[in-house]
Amino acid sequence: MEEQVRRLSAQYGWNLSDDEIHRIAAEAAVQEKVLERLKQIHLAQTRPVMGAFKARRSSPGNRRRK
Amino acid sequence: MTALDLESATIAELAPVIKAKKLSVVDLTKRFLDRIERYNPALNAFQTVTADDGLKQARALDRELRAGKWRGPLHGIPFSIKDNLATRGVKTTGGSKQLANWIPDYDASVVEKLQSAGAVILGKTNMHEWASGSTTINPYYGTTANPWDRQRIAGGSSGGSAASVAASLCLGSIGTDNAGSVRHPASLCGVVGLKATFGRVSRYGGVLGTGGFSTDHFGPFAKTVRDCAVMLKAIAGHDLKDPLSSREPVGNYTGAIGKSVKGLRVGLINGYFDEFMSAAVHGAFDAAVGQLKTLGVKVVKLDIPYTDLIAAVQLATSRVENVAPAHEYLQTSPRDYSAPLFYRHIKSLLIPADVYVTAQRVRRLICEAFEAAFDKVDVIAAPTVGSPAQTIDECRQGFAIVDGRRVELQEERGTTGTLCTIPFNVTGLPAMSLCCGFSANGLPIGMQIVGAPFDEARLFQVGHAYEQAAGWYGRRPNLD
Repeated sequence: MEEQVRRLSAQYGWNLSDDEIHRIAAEAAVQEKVLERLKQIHLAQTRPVMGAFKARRSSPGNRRRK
Repeated sequence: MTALDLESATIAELAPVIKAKKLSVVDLTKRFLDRIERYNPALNAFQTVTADDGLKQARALDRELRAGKWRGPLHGIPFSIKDNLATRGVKTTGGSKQLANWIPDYDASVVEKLQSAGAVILGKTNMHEWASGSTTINPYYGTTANPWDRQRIAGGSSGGSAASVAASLCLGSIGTDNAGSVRHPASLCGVVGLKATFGRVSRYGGVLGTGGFSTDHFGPFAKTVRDCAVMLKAIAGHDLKDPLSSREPVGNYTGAIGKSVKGLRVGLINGYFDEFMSAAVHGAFDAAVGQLKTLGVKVVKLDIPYTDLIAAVQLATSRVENVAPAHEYLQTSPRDYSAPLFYRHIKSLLIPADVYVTAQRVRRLICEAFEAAFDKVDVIAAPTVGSPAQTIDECRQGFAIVDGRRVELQEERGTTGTLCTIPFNVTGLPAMSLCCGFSANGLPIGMQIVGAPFDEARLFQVGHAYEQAAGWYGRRPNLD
């Protein structure tokens, strides 16, 4: 992770200090762990949410997903 | 009209007075400007006050009234606007250093619609830097204080908007809500805050980088549910300038006010919210559910799958979508971000594209799970924020002691204060926060009423019935 932060720092010209790089890399590792869980979900045939939402048309007692 | 009357005044009460020309718009505007002059230095709710423009609008609206033209219930009503919504000819900073001197040459669609409805804009409100947090402790424009206790935060990111309404410096405001940024400060300041269904209110004219394309919503603050309904009616509807704005017809929101809630089904979600509630919020929320039961609603317990993934989806979608428009500033003025936001943007750049798309796919599962719940219930009730407003000092140190235990205000899943609000950013469902009680030390506590897509009318029906029965809306902070 530190290497990736260093690369970004060089690419953007941020001149991040070593302390900053350590800190950001450590926090990014925690972030990666949180996001890792998303990859464990079975998503076959599941398409991303795109575009505007629709209202539900059927009666409250007989509603189906959009 | 006395100062006390202004504190308790609502849009619904003042509209007929203005229409009948018993009070001129100029007079009303001046009285609110006087309050801003008196109380804003201590609160820092307004970042920019547009007194001259406001009085100019007021004079024009009085002329219209004299000519027999009344635009509707917002004619002559004073408003504030969050500082990440473009206002023609008025500085719009997004709470940032980078945009400190930006003066747009156009209005955001919500501002345009509000003004067409007759609103008088009194100024722009303070907010969290780039709307990226929930304290409104802004390193460049100062901290907005909570009108109920000035040692405490007003919440955020639309903290100035909520405080301006709670302190009666105006009668309504427009904020933006990417993770709870309308509902969180509404809860902490004891006012009503609404995030309508995704696409219900146009987002044209919002400062890019102050909310995710998938999760951000614009919405009203008001003192009462009825006022909120009037405001939504004015700002809702399709907008050609916003490709994600919906063509669904705008509902009869005020028509829902006063309808009985007897027999309606109110859902309570098992599990998710319990983790975040302090004893004070738990007590107030349980009492509010009890009050709803006395009004005749039926409570239904709901098990909703995938709620444990909400924070990860919000994090991946919202942060990636927020950092994309920041590219230019990350190249030209990176150190003009506060250090925490600069570091957060760097972390966001490290989220891989496939994780972003995966998050959007998981988001669909979550949306479908919540929508299926509306087969069983008419609305969902939930707490808005896990605990009442923290002190400014607690927020600066990064943790608070709640019920005797240390609570980190920023954790790996995101900002602790918004974990109760993000489910409805991820799902796009309409969600309204209203006051459901006060803590032992006099701080407001909020409850969310959440509806099926585009069923905002139902939120107003249930919210108004609760509000009238509970009566909390009548309490006002003591500012002197």
